[in-house]
Amino acid sequence: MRAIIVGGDTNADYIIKTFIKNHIPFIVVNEDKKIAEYISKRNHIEVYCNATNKLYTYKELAIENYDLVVALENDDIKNYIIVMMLKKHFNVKKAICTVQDPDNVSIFRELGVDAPISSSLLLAQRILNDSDIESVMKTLSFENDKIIITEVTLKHEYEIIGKQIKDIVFPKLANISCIYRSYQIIIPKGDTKFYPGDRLIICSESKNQKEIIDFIKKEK
Amino acid sequence: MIHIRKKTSKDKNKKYQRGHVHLIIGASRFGTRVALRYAKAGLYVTVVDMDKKSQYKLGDNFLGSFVLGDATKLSTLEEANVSRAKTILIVTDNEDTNIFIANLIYTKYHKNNIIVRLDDEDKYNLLINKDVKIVNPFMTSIIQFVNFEKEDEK
Repeated sequence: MRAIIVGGDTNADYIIKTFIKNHIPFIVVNEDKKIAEYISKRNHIEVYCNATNKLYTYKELAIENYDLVVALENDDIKNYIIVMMLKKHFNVKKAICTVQDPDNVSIFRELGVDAPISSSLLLAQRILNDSDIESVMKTLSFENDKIIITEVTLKHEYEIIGKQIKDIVFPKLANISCIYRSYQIIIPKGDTKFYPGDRLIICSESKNQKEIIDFIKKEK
Repeated sequence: MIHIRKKTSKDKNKKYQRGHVHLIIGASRFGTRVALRYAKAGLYVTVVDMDKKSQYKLGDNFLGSFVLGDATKLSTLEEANVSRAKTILIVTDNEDTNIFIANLIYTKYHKNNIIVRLDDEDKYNLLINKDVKIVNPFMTSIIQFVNFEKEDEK
C-alpha cells in the first residue's frame, strides 16, 4: 500500500508514526510551513510544503495509482476537494478524510468520498457504547457501516434464555459468530443453550440490526 | 437562519413567475449584479449568503428574497427553495465551495440548470454533472485581451 497524507497537525504526526511502524510507504503534503517543519523534524522525513487544494502541488509527486489519500485539513470542503482531485486526476483508489460537521459524513459518502470520519460522531457513538447501554449492546461497523458486529449481553428476562439455538427461528441475514461465557469463547452449534450473562457476537448487515436486537430482547 | 422577504408597494404590480425561482448563491459583486438584473426583469430571485451585511448590497428596492445561511448545508438550500429553482447561479468567492455546492445540489435535487463560477481549469472535472455551465472570469479576461490584440492588429 502507498499512501499520501495531506494537511493535519498532531493527527498527521500520529498517522505518520503508525505508517512508519507498519512499513507503509507514504508522502506527506502540508501547506503550513511551521507544521511541515515540525512533522519533518519529529519523523525525519521529507514534507512537501505547498497549497493542498491545487493540482500543481501533486503533479510533482508522481502519485499515480496510489492506494490511499488521507486528508486532514480543518476545512471540510477543502478535504472534499483534495480527495476528489486525487481520485479523479491520479486514480488514487481510496479516499479518507476528516470532517468537522458530523452531518457531512453521509453527504460526503454520497458525493464519492470512501470514508469520511467525524471525531464528534465517533465520540458520540463511543459515549453511547460506554454508557448504560453498554450492558445491553455494543456495535462495531465495517465497510462504511454496511457490515456490523453487534455484541448483546443476555438478561434473565429474555425469551431465548434456556433455549437451544436449533429451537429458535433467528432472523435471516444474521449470524451468531460466537458466545462469550465465563471467560470462554463458545462457537455456537444447534444444541448450544443461551444463559443469562452470555455475550452474543452477531455479524449482520446494518439494516437488519434493529430487527435482530428486538428479537433477542423479546421478554418472556 | 433569517429569511427576509422585502416588500414594497411596487410588489403588488410585479408579475413574478412564482413557480420558478432564480437562485443565486453568493452575494459577490457578480452575484448581486445578476440578482438585480433578474429582479428588474420581473423574475423571482432568491439570494443566499452567509454574511448578513451582503443583503445591503442588494439595496432597499430589491424585491427578491434573501436567505442568510451557509449554502453547503442542506437546511439552507431547503430554506432557499432549491427544488423550485429554475436556474441556480453559484458564485461565492471560494471556488472549492462552489464545486461542493454544485455537486450537492445535483446529487440531492437532480437539478440541471446550474451555472458555477470557477477560476481553476484543473478543477472543472470535479463537477459531477458535466452539463453544468462554467463562468471563468480568468478565461473571460484572456479572451477579451486576445480580442483587443486582434483589433489592434487590424
